[in-house]
Amino acid sequence: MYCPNCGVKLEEGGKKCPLCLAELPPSEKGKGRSFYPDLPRPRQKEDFRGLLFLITLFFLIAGGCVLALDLIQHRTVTYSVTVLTILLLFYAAFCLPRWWRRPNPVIFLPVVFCCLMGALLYQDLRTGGGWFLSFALPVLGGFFLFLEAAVTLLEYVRGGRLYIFGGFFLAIGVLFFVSELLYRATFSMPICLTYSILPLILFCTLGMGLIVIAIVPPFRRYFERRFFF
Amino acid sequence: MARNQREKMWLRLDNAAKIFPASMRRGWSNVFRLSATLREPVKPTFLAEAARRACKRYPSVCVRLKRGLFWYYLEETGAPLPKEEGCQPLYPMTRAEMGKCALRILYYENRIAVEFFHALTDGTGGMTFLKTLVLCYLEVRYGKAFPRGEAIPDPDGAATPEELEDAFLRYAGKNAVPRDPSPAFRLQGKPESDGFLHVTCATVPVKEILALARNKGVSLTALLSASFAYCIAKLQREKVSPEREKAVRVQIPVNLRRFFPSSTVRNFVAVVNVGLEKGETDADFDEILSLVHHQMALLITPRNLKATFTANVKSEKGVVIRLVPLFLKNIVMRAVFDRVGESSACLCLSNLGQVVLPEDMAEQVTRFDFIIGPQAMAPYNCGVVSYGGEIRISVVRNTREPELERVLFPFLSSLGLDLTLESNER
Repeated sequence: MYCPNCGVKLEEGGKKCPLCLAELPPSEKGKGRSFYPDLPRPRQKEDFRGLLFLITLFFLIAGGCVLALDLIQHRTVTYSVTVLTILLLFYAAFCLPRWWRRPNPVIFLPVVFCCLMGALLYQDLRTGGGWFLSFALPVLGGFFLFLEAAVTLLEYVRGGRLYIFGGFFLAIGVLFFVSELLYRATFSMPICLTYSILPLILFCTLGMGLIVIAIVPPFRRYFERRFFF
Repeated sequence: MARNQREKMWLRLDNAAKIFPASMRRGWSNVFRLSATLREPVKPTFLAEAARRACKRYPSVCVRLKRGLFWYYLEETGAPLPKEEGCQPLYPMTRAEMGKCALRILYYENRIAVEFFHALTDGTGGMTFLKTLVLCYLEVRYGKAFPRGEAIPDPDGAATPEELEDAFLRYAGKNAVPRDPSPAFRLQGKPESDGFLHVTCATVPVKEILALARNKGVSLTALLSASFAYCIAKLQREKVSPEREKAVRVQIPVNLRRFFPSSTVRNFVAVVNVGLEKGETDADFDEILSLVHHQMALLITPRNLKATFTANVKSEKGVVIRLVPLFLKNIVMRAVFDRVGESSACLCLSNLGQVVLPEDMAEQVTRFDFIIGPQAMAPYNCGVVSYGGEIRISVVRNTREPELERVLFPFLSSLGLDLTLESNER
């Protein structure tokens, strides 16, 4: 065949003339075998490092400004600690992992946990609250421990997702129960259960439900068919 | 648990290969592709079995790229699973992919294609691998042995030390020639936003083009190089003012096995630059042809080629260079590559020559294609291979407008060649 626009001799099967880029007439399209398969090109991951550098710079300047203002106003650190804590947590959670092409959550979760614990410990010591060791550390430590365990299993164990999520929800339900007990003990309140009952029941039911689905194959097949994604 | 597996073989990169991992960048790596088209559609299960045999035969080709403290090295790996071709040939190979296997085996309808990271082998070694892969495929497909003649090594034999050697080291001499760093004209264009690679393949009867070359008293490579130089010089005149004109050179890889006997399947190739220096770019085609012909005669001699690769071997052997950590080496080598390797020529014209197959195999294989990826900083490159009475000139580009193709192919037609074009234009 020949290009109807520039007249160059072409093999059958092309979409456009390679020289004048004219569309080949519909009657000629699809005739013969195409030179290469006609598939969409997979998207490449964009490089956001330039943007990340700017964001990091913004965080540093913002933190520095807040600290400087606080020092000028009060001659000591007051509200700037809270602002810096929020900035640090936000940066550690959302920006820091993006420096790596494939950030590993197993590594970055403890980083966020350490930042949070450091900030809470500072607040506890500054205010003399006495709640860090008896309440904040066990409750948040437990939460991050369960989260880390779940994330590690999801990252490195093939399959068993229903068991992992089921176990995680069960642990979170129990953690609500423990957190209320610790809260009441820390602040010398009468020991009884109020706000933790509903989450305990909800999470434990959800966790048990997932484990039952995982154990019983007909259930699993039914839910797979209904909720596959 | 009993360990029956033997230890995986590892290899130092050969002298020519050392530059390729260092010069890699995001979205670009030095990759080339060879493909064979069969009479019948390719069956992936048979191809997977054939790939296992071929990869076992060539352990230096089926490897992955690993980082050492001072150098990169290659480590033997299992045969890659053949995949159906995607949207475009030579889709950029990432470091992560090379860390698993720096070789791709692909199929599409009747075609078997292999994409090699250039650090593994050169065009000749790659063609040996592809021919073995096709032989293995045909044997598995038809359940019978195909006579392989002398063109293809025994696919069930073991790799010989000669096949695995770095032949540069064996043949390096004492005298080295300095490299020519003067910059050449750089073809430019608006890059494709998604990095799409356009491939335009011109098919010409070998008899016709050989007759033309003989008529002009030059070789086929000289004829094509001169045509490219003439067309690029023409483009330069249109785009650049005379004061800012630069040299127009075409880089020609030379298979060193022709001059220095070796059966290595690793890189054993040297490049020479031919074309027009600054101030000569208004020469007519016959002048350019004569110039290129004589340049090739002058440069492609065993003595000059030896001196060319001796310069590279000497720089590899320096004690200071060897002791520098890899990340620093990479920075220096990439700067050298950008300054000397690429900028001294407008494009690379790699002519693989004629592919010869045993008669029984030739009945089953209808065509061969050879594509080399574009340069890192310039959009064009060209691979040439001939088989079955036809020569295929595959021009690749990663820009939108086919500026060079628009000049080159009509020019080749005007020389009296009967060109048929095909492309992957979308």
